[in-house]
Amino acid sequence: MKGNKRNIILTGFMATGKSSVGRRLAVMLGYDFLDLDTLIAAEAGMPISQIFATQGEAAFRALESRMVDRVAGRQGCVVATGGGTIVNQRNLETLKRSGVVVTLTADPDTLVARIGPTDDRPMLWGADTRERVRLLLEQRAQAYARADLIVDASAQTIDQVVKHILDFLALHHVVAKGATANLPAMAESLRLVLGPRSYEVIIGPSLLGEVGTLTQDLGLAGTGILVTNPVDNQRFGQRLVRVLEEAKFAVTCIEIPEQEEEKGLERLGWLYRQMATHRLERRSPVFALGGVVTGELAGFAAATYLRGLPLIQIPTSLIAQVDSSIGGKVGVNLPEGKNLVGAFYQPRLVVTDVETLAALEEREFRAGLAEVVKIAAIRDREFFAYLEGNVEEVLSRDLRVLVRLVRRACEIKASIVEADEWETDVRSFLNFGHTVGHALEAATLYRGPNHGEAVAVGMVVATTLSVQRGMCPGEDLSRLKALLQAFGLPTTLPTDPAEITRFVRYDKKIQSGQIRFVLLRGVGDATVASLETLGELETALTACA
Amino acid sequence: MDTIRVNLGNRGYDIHIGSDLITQVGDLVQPLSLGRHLGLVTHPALAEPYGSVVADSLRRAGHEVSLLTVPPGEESKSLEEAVRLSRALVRARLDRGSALIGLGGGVIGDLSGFVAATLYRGIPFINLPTTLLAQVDSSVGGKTGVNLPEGKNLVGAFHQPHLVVADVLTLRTLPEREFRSGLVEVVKHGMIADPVLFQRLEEQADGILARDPGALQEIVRRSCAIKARVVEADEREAGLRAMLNFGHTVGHAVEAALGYGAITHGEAVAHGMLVAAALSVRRGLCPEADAVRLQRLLTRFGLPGVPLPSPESLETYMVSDKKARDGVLQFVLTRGVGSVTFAPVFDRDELRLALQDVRR
Repeated sequence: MKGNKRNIILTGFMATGKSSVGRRLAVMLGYDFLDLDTLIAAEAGMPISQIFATQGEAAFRALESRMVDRVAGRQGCVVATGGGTIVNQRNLETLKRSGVVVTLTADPDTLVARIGPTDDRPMLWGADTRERVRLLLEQRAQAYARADLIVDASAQTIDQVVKHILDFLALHHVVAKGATANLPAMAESLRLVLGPRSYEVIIGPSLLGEVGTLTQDLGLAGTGILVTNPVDNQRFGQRLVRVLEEAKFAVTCIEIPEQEEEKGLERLGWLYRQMATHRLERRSPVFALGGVVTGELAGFAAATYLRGLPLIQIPTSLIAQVDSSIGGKVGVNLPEGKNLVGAFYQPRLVVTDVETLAALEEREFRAGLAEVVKIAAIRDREFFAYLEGNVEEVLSRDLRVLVRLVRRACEIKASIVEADEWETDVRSFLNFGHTVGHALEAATLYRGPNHGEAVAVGMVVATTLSVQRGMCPGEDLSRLKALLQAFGLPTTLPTDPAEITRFVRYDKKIQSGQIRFVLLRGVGDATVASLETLGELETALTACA
Repeated sequence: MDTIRVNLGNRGYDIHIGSDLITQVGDLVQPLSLGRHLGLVTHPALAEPYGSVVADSLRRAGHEVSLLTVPPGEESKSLEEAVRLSRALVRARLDRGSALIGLGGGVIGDLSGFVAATLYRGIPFINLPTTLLAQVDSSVGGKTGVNLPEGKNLVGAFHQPHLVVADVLTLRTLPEREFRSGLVEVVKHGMIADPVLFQRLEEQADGILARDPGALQEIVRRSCAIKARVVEADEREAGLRAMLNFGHTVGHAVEAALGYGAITHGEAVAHGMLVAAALSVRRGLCPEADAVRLQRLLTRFGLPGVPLPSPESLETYMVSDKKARDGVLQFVLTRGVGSVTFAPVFDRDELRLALQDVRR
């Protein structure tokens, strides 16, 4: 019963690990996770640094107090507050009434080292970082000290901090003793049934440590290669290599930049040479740890080296987890266009650790949400409603919600892929929003909206077209726009509609001169139709400008 | 015209074998309902007359044809050449409904097949092999690929063609040595699975060497049929397909020891088959008379034509062969004309003796 559960509020200075600890704690207790700063940014429709820059700290604090009231009105939540939230006496009182307040502390040296660049940390703007940290800590010391529990996180891992807090909560009967879950055991698995090419997608928190044994279970062993990008390598690479070594794999780690320009033939040739140098054999596994670029490039290399090596996808971005890692599309770009060379090549296993999403940059996370909205919009009205009802948890990256969201999105995508592995009919539904989306990316020379943002606008245009044709209720268009906006995604065209029309005409999906469009009969129900006239598209584009 | 169906479920396809078929390609592709725009890849030397004949036939059937050429030689089987072709095809505005046609030998088939396997994540491929080796071997089975500086065929894909058309008249212009090398694979097919084919080769050696179209059509048909059956049983080369490697363990070592170019692949495999047969006789698996028949038939075709290198020089190359597992050589041995078996060879002396038998 959620109704009897008091909230657990994590406070403390920036970079003490409030969000990471909070997410773990929530998933282990079966609570919702809310990140106060994320909710504030969503409410304001802009990043916190921008609120500070345009409206000043006072406006930010006022908004923060309103959001404190809102989360305190809920129960059964783990809340990560901002670093300065409880300095305000009223905020502290409100939060204490709603639950147990825990302060995470760390010594100043650890904090300065963890904080890094301060662009997104307005409280540290201006002065020398170390001095500013010292000053703020001093100012806040009294407020932090009023917590029910104070945990020094300097020398502890996230797991240790979480355990410390759980022990305290059990001791004080806030939660039942032993109420904690084994995280990897919470994973859900999904089987893609594609005859001899069938495979499992495993989705859950804390799964990186399981990759070794899961790969062993496929009957694979020996020399392999781990392809990743510098960022994921820094975050997870070493740990993954160790986990694989424990499972008796000898893996070499190869880094490729996670950039679309790098998904080309030069990089591919280089990767092949690495594979040859490391003497990969037909049964050598290729582990792809990273986002879309890593997955597609490493996937294509795996598909074509020695006519196909076993591929293990470990996607770390939301878009890779819900979209590109499912379905076997791999490939590279030519100077003439994106993804022109590729293959349909199914991985042997996909390990989706939703905790990797916690570290994802905000804009990239939202871009991934665009694909999630797309999948719901074309196929599952109920899932769409679930997203509408859980916007705050989604934005706070609550791990339980992420597992459910990623799982459902993968399930839908999988059912489409199973029905149509070679992309002839139903699978083209997945191109919803992509015709205009691709054109928008191209028209802005790939320097404007990112892929997810472009698809968000594309979906609005396609749905507007559907409403124009009288096949889709206007109300469903409003719901789509509202959800995209709630996720901080754009819903209007940033360019001249004529530019978009020009690019649409060159899209590779044009078959025998006809422009095919994925339209909606309503939320959850897609269909494919040919454009009757370009004028029809122009009208829809103009309506979205 | 003979037709062999390769039964691979929805990837199944026909192999047409006959005389003067390239003039009818336009009609032969009709049942495939290909897109209107087709790419045709060949060597400059084959562009006239064969390339034009094929293109004209396709155009008469209502297709638009973009002809691209690739320099001859194994060096063209590279990633760079595959990229160059892919880009040219995109610029020529081939779309996902288009098909690619390869006209030539193994290099053209492997290279253009790989381009077809990967362009737009795979478009239909039609193979028009013009060498004997390509007609009886590389055009059947769906193996495509290119070489890397680090090794041959390191990059590739399994991509079954939509159609193979083997016109035996194109074999008439093939250089003599290349033709004879192609015969080795035909002899191999007879040895591993078809005593009738082997017998035909013995009986009609004169007609075959004179490139009589009727004789060629029969041996190509029987050869393709064997390869097709093996591929059907083992599309992804998991086990059975390995029987096609008869003669290849030693063959690869001979090629490597003499240096690529000094001996043709076929000539090297001829040596390999003789060694494998000698090993089989020594083990009592194969009647000596059958080994003699093999040796006589190859001699009749002027094969191997190049002497076998010393056992010492071959051994180093055999251990590094990718088919060697944990240092134990995997051999395909013969039980006599028309039948093979798999066996590991542990004993280096045994192999050395067999090599000496053949050198004698």
